[in-house]
Amino acid sequence: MSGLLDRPSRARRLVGGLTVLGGVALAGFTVLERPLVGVGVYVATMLGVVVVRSQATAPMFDERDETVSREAAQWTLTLFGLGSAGVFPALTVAWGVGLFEWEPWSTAIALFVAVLFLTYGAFLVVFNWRR
Amino acid sequence: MDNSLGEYRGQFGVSQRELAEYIGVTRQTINAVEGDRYDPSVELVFKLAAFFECSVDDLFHPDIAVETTASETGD
Repeated sequence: MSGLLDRPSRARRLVGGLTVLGGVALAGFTVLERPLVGVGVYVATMLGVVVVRSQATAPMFDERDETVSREAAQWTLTLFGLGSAGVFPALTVAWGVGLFEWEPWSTAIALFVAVLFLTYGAFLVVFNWRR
Repeated sequence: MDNSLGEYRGQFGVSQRELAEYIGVTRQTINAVEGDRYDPSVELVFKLAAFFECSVDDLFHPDIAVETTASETGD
């Protein structure tokens, strides 16, 4: 194992691969109505990630990864923000004139986006206050 | 940010991997800084300058024009 982890790039790929595998397994087995198998594979891959990160001899992730992650988060929020600013008012108008019915899935998405931005707003307040 | 990291690394005869290990970052980060695709943090800038025993100005050449302050112009 240590030989495999001697090169940080290999360890990074391994962590990325395990994370994707865990996520796909969880979603896939849940769709296939085998949620316990999905959770089992997910937990196993996450444990694998923990082991790989604890055994790595050199830093696998650094400030550049944090910057990339921040940029990705920024784009995600922007896309969700722009999307929801247009889509949800339009859906509400359509609902008002009887052209659209809120289904459980669309309500769930709307609530998720609302919670996402409420969380974002709360963190903005906290970090502004701390600095 | 324009920099002379590659030249200094060449003078000191260290590979990107060796420099990354010494500084405590990944080789990809050193490569990205050298290729002007990533602006390093202040901490990393100082670590690199300390490694090469030079000033930050010797390593990095940002294209920044600072406006002259009012006190200097006598306004």
